[in-house]
Amino acid sequence: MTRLTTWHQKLAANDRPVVIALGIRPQASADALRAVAALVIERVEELTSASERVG
Amino acid sequence: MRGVYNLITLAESLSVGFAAAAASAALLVMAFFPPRAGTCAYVIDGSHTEFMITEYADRIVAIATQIGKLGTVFECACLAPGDLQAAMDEDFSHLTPRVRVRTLIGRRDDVTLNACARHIGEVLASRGLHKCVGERTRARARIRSSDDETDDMASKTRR
Repeated sequence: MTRLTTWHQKLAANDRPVVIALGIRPQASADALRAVAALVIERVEELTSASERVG
Repeated sequence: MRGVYNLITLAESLSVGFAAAAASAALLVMAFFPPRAGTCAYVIDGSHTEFMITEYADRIVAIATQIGKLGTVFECACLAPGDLQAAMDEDFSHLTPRVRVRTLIGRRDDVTLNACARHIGEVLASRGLHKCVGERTRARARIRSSDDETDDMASKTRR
């Protein structure tokens, strides 16, 4: 019950953090990092917009 | 006797309210089960790069790896309104951070990766993706209904 209440409170507060794991090679260039960031953003948006359509 | 009856009624209504809140939370959790996930891979700058995005009810997990391991894990969360106000008071509104980035696992001294994670968090926060899907759907429904009301008003005015 306590866990459900905590979930409910968290969802009501719109508290949904993004956890990002980056395993990038140390010799990667700035352009490569920029491309990785852009692709992550694109994929997250794609996934969340798809779930929004379903929901 | 009457007071005891009132107390019982109050307790019953409270328990019903709590049960309703728990039930709605459970329904929301069920709506997110199983968590949606997407994977893809690209060759970036000659390196095979894999992406895996998973959307849970209370967080989004994004993995981008060129080494087949998690690497450094960051958590990006929007600043609380109090923190944001404190940051605004410093009159650096153009530099005000919208998200707080914490390194959970991995290299804490790598500022490049930190900047990359912060950029991703900032962009996602600016597009409202930190909000839960239910809230965003409700917000869209509100916008749609207000649009409908505006259309109705416009049609009445035309008549």
